[in-house]
Amino acid sequence: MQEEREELVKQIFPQLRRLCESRGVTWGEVDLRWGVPDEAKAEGKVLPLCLAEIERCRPYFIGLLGERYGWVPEEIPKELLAAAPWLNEHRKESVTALEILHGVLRIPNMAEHAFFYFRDLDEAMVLQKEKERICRDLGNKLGLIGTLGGQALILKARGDLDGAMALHKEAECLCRELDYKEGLGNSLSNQALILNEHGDIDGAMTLHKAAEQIFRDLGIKKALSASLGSQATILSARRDLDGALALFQEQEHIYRELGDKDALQTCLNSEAAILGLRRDLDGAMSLFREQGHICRELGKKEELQASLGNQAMILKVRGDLDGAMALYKEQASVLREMGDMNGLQECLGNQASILQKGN
Amino acid sequence: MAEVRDLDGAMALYKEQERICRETGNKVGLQACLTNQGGLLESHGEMNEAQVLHALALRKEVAHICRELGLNRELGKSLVFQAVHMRTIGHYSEAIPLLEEAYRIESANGLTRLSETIKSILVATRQQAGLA
Repeated sequence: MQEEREELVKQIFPQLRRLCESRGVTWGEVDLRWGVPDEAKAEGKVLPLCLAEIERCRPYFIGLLGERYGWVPEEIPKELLAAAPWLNEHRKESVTALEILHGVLRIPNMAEHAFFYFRDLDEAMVLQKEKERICRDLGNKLGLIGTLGGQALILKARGDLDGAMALHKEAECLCRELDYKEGLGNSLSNQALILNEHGDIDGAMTLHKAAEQIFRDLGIKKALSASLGSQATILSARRDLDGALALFQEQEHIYRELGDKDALQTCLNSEAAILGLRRDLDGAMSLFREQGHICRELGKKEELQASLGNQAMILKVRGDLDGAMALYKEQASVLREMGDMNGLQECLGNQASILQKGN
Repeated sequence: MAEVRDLDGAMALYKEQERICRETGNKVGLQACLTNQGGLLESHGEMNEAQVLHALALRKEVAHICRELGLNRELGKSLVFQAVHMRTIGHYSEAIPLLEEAYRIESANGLTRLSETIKSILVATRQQAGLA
């Protein structure tokens, strides 16, 4: 559902926010699959946080469902079971299912305020199958490669990773037969993403590297930078920070060359996070500053406020409390503009903490 | 600003944070904010009775939210602070069940050092209440 989220965040939510603001209403989305901090995930707080957020949003609830059942937690925290004993009867259900139960199905009068939308991949699959049949009949192998890739993406979205892999492999064979290198690179990249999801990280890296080489040879920079980013993310998760940084830096170089500012700011944010982990606060600060500058230019408020918060945190660690306070105030101002009240309250707490502790 | 602590300024910001959390129904944020306000009052040094009662009310509300959300670790701490404030105003027998519950929670969490500290406060409180 990444593309659906992208569409909502970039197109729909800003329109909704503006519409509400024009009527004097503050509106903000709460996305239960975005923004749960890693520490919270590590401490098993995903479910308690999600259920609390649902409480906060009552009486409204919108469910956008793809084809996956969702992640089933190994265990539910004891404290949460004590506070919400109904969970005892649903121990083997996914977080998504529990959210829907908690938000809507266990509360009859929610029916008037709850809406559910289902992605219709079935129809897309029917069309792809028809295309496949026509391409096979005509012996159109290039068209066949395209539709096999499209079907594979649908199967992956449905969670059928093995089925998707089989289709990508068939497409790979056709690409090799036709010596269609760009298609081969795309197929290998897609297979790498599936292996990564399967937990076969070494296999994923090998395929990413093969795809990388193809894109380098062909000079397809956009695909090359995407491959570098995927590899960097894997290395970063493996704590190979130097390796990850080197790849992100090459990605940065490509985005600068292409003039793709939006992708560049995302890349700078990733690099800065790694420098922060390596305690290179000056380096991290410099990148977060550039990221903030680009976000300001592009009007990307969400990313801007996050960048300001990160910069403030670095200054606070360095003991520059005045500087940190100024950045937090700027962050608060952006959050107010966005109507992000949850972000705002956290930012106010950070400011208060600086005033409380002093120097 | 960086040279001195501005406790009034901090409290004003925490109050605004509290208002937003109440308005938006953000209980997780509210409990963190009320905990910080309690901590701020307690960091003033010696508190007068009104301040003690204020801090006590904050810690009570925190405990209530923690029970609702199942935040046990934070609940244990808020119970200890409530008990300490109860002791300050001489309500020893009301402090005892709070400390007993905090001890149970922290022991279950495996926080032995904190639970030992709570136990020693509990023993002293029982003595002050004439129960030991």
